[in-house]
Amino acid sequence: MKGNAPEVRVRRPTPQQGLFNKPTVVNNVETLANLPFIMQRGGKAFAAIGAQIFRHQIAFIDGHFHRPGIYEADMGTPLAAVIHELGGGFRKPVKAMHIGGPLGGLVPVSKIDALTVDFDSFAREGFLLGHASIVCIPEDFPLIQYLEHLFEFTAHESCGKCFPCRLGSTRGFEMLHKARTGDYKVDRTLMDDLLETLEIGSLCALGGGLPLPVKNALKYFENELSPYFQK
Amino acid sequence: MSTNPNISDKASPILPGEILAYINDKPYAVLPGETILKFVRRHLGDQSNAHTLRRAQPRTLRFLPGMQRGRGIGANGPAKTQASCHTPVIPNSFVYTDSARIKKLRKNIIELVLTDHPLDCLTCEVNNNCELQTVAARVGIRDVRYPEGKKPLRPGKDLSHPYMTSDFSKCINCFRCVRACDEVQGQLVLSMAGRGFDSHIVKGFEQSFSSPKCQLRRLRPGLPDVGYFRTF
Repeated sequence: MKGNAPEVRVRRPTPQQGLFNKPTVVNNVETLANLPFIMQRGGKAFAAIGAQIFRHQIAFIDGHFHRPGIYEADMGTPLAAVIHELGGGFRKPVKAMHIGGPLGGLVPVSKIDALTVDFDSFAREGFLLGHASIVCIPEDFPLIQYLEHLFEFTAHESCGKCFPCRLGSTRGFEMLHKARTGDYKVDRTLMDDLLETLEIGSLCALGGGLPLPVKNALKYFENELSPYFQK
Repeated sequence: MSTNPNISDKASPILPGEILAYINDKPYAVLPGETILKFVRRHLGDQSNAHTLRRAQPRTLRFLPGMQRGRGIGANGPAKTQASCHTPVIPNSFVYTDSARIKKLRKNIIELVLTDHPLDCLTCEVNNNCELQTVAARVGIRDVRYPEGKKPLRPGKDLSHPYMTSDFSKCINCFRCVRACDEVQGQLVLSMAGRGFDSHIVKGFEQSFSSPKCQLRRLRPGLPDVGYFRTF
């Protein structure tokens, strides 16, 4: 873009400027999803919904629910209501939900009642609401394989500019893959060091976001993961 | 000699009205637009922040070459550490050059870099004259804990040019040669190709030094020397 390599910037340009120094708007799905309402009923009606900056959160829920789809819920709605009333409950036993995208938190089902769909509630419990997508991890799916997938995803998406993300995601994937398919045991100290390096050393949120679900998994599913790790 | 007992002998005296920031909890005067690295070096000397990497005479510090992530100086406040070489000093900020956290981060990043580098120092032609080796020793790496993993496919030695050779099997993607080619020489012969783990340095369109009419030989003082790129 603009003749530069497709890599993240170290920081946003100062003074702030758009593409080719022109005013630039980047719309995400949620912005666009609000447009039909505003076009039909006008801006005043939209403003009247509430005073909060984020009035709604759109939740995407996956095929492990009875009624998968895209739903709109008021901020502050209990997570249990989204799962059981909007989604119709789980179709099969689920042990965890990955909420907020690939770099969101991994929420064990035991935490459902403690959460409401808003940023504060998720942050307080050590998760991330993100864009509120809910991807379920069934009881019978090995969590180690899921973590391996997360590292592989990050390695695939990495631009390659900073060392922690370019190398750390690949090395993390390799370690977990070896542990799952062979006799190799991942050194827990090394994994913690890798996660810390990714978290505070990465240039952008891709490498910086990966440690959250991995840490959640190591915290809430220690029993399941302990055979693959050594202290 | 400083008039302020909190300031080391190397620091300039703080004058009334000067902007201050703190290095390891001691106040020092900040020059406008100064990077953290320059700020710390100006007050504590060149060897003060655990690195000896030479810079490729950049005209601008807008871009962050990857290697310099290993230079991070802990900055108090944001959760992330700031790379010192390109981050301007924020007035009244607290900079910690050798906290346990930043030392560990430096070590862990360099360890990751070494997973992508052939560990054949003893037989390497630049043994004992290698910045990467020096930095690794300085941050205290004794061995690489990661298991043997995939290595990027990079072309080996290029001996096609009369003045320059390269061995990209030892390249660590620090981007400094790319910057030197762009910012000092203005040639853009060297650039990056590929993405993520597969990103690598290319000459022209994946050619050799002899093909793109390379003028980099004039750059001898600025070129990095970590075993993969040598000038004569």
